[in-house]
Amino acid sequence: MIYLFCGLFGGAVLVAICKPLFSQDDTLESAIIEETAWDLLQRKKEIILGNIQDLDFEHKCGKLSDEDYQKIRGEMAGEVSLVLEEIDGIESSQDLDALIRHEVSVRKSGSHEPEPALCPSCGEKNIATSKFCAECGAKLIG
Amino acid sequence: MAQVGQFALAMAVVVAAYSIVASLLGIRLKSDKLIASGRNAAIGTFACVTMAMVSLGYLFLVDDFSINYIAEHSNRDLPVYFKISAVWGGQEGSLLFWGWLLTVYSALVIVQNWRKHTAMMPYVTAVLMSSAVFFAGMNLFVVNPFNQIVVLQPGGVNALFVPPDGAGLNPLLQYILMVIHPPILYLGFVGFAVPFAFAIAAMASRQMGDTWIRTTRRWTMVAWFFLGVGILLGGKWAYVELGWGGFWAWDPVENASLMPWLIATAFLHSVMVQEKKGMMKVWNMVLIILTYIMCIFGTFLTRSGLVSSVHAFAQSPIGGYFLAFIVIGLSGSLYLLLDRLNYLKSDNQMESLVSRESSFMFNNLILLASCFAVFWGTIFPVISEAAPEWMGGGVKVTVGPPFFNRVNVPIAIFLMFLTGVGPLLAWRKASTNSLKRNFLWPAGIALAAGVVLFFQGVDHFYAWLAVVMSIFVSLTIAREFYKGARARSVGSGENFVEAVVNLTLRNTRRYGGYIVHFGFVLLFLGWSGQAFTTDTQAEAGIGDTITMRQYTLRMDRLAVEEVQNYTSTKATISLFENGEKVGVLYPERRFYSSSGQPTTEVAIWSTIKEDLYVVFAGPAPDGKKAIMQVYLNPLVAWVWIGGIILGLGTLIAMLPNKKSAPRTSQASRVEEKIEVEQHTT
Amino acid sequence: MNNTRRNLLLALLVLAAPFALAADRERIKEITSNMICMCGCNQLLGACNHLNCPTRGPMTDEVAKMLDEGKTQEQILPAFADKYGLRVLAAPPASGFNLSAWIMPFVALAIGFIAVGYVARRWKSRSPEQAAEAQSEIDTSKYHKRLQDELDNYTPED
Repeated sequence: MIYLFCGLFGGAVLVAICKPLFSQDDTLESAIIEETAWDLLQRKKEIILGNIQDLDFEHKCGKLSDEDYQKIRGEMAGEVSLVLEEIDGIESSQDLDALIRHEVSVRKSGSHEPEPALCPSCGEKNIATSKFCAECGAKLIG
Repeated sequence: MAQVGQFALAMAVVVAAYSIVASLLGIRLKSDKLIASGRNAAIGTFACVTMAMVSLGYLFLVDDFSINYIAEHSNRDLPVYFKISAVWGGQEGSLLFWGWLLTVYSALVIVQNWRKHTAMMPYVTAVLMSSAVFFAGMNLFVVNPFNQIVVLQPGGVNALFVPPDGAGLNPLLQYILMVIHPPILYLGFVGFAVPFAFAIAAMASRQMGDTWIRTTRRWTMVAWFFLGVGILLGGKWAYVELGWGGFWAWDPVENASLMPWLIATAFLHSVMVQEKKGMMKVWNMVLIILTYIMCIFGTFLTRSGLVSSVHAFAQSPIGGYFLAFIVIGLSGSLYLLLDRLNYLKSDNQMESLVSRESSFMFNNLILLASCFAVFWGTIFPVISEAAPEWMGGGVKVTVGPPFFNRVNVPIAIFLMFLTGVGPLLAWRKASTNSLKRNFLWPAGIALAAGVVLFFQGVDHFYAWLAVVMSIFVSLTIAREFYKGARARSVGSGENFVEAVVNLTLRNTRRYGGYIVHFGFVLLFLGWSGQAFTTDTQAEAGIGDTITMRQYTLRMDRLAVEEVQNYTSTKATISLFENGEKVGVLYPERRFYSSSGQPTTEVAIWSTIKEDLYVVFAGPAPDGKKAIMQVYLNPLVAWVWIGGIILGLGTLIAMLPNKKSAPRTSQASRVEEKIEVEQHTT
Repeated sequence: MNNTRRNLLLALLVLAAPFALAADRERIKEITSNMICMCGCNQLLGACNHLNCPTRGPMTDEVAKMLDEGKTQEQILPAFADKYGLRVLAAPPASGFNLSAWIMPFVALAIGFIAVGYVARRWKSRSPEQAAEAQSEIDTSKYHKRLQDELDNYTPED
């Protein structure tokens, strides 16, 4: 009785584990990249926007002098502008979907990682398909 | 049923190990099938360990004393709920319970995040399952709860043996707080496995943004919440059950839970710097690695008996394995971190040394120093015993409360100071002028209160400082709410209370955090009351009275009673305050027959000012009177009140931010303006 | 006469005894809270609450006796350490190897402080001009309206 129970239980677990091995559909899950340059930029933009909102609020609460507030807000606005420009660059350079699909196929086909694109301006390693450097925003060659 | 448990454990080890291999291989070969199989195996591990837990619980319920663990931790008369809590009452069961919670968390995390974080999840699975393999393996091979009792018969034959009754659960654990304290503490310990796994996964998959932090933000808070509540419940248990008048003795077991909590607190603060400014990336990795390692170390400390003596450590079967696991885990994580350092460069520079981010750095420093002090004090007896003689080692020393208090109290007070100052500072750069303006009133009022207190006769320096700091921090917190609400109500036209509520709901993390700070202040205040504890001991017969300050206790009755599991001697004491009867106390002494141990049930008369704490210490030598120990513990209630506020604040911080009403867009703003103009003309 | 005086003195002593005890109670408590009860409970001597603890009574009496002899805490604690071993002290003495128990936490704090100061300084001095330069190159006014729109539509996530 106990052996039967153990067998059934073990069998059920084994079936659950092995089932995906024999499934047909390829989901391409392993090829998805969560943090593409575009994603990172979007995130960066959101962070700075949040920071600006916080800054406005802290200024209202009297934690900053007007002078500091103007200066820092100006800097932050500049940062957002930079990020927006980069985002525009990526979006206008290529169809976004095509960009993702390209990434996926590159990851899927070769077991090698794609050659990183070196930034001519700052030397940062960028994803092969990037058009602009994620670090300094300079245009990448090739 | 024991066979089912054994089978399930063995299967758990195999399946979890397979899950690691399949996940990692799947990533390497870019095979979705393998990855999915690894995921199912992780969930399968959960099923297996659950089965083992169920069968152990069942064995307790049916009093199967052929199993060693059951015979040692239960007896027939034990109430059902204690039989269930006895599952984690001993070493074997508590490790199984640890492993089980880990698999529960793993399954939850996998189900919750599989679609959202496809690239990280196989790594997360592999990391979580590595711990699962360790714990299930320990349970299977080293401390197996399903082992049967075997006795050596004359003639060298082993035979099974079933004792007629079990030895019973340790009476000190037969208490409702002890039923829930370990699970809650473990929920905290194990909870940090999740952010740890995501941190490792982020490094392994080179996804170095703050995704891992944002994904696990709530998990971290949940774990931190449970760990904090667990520690407090442990203190409460010590207070009401151990009967020595206090709630925190700096016992190694207590320290074991405090250390990860301190590092996790640092982590909770410093992730904000990364989220906002993209700085301290490496540091956050270090912190979460340390937190999880400390959780394992805490479990190890509690379970191996390392601290009582080096020799106990050598005797304990699990010590070496735990140490190996800690060393492998720590060096593996740090190696990965060093390898990925290039990806973890800061995005920003620091604008000013007087800023919120720098205050977070000091907060981290202080919390870690405090953790180190606790760590060092906890393991120092081992170090001292193991140190060579020419260095002055080889001696058994004790590191007890005087050490920890003397070292940690100044650190804690400085931390309080930072708690007060930090929120006053703006991100990036706080101008000195506004800082002065914000600082002046709270500091001034706190100091004035301090002067008054001094003339009231508070001459204990640290206690005085603690009170002054508490006032200062409370005022800055109140000020934050006030200023925020005012700034809000100017724009929205809400009244003040509405503004405070909405303010909190719109930014739960910040204002929930302030509430947590306030809870911490109260807790600290209650804790500092310990400096003024007084006590007295007296023999009292029927009709006798004991007087302590304004309280008078009159012994009315002494009764002996047989209860299911123990014999109880209960005193009935009338309590008078300034001559007026205010209540009746029932201090009790129990004798547990199955284990032959006595325990005390303390009677506590608690007011917000002080606790009158009455212990039935035992019968007097003449047999007619009872020895009563009476403590007057100032401010203890505030520890629990502070704890509750701390918990509530954490819960608020976990709430999702209430979305603001759709903001008025540029267009509607123009419309509004037109409307206003039309109205005025 | 002599007898009477002796009796009187005795009576006075007996009468005074409880008062002396009450006055000493606080001091005894102070000293015993720096010692560990040797019964194996690992609790502070003052906090050990075993019924019929075999060591608490004698040890406390010993402390009381030494206090009566006019000894101070600084003399009593080492005397106990000689008799029972260092283990009897609730915290190791700040001398010899045991000094490291006391010093290390503060050494660690000092090292941490220097490290934080160093890192903060480095972060602070890290090329703020570079960022400013990059910024000055682009025309922020172009994005001014975009920024306002983004801010209007921005709600902080959870």
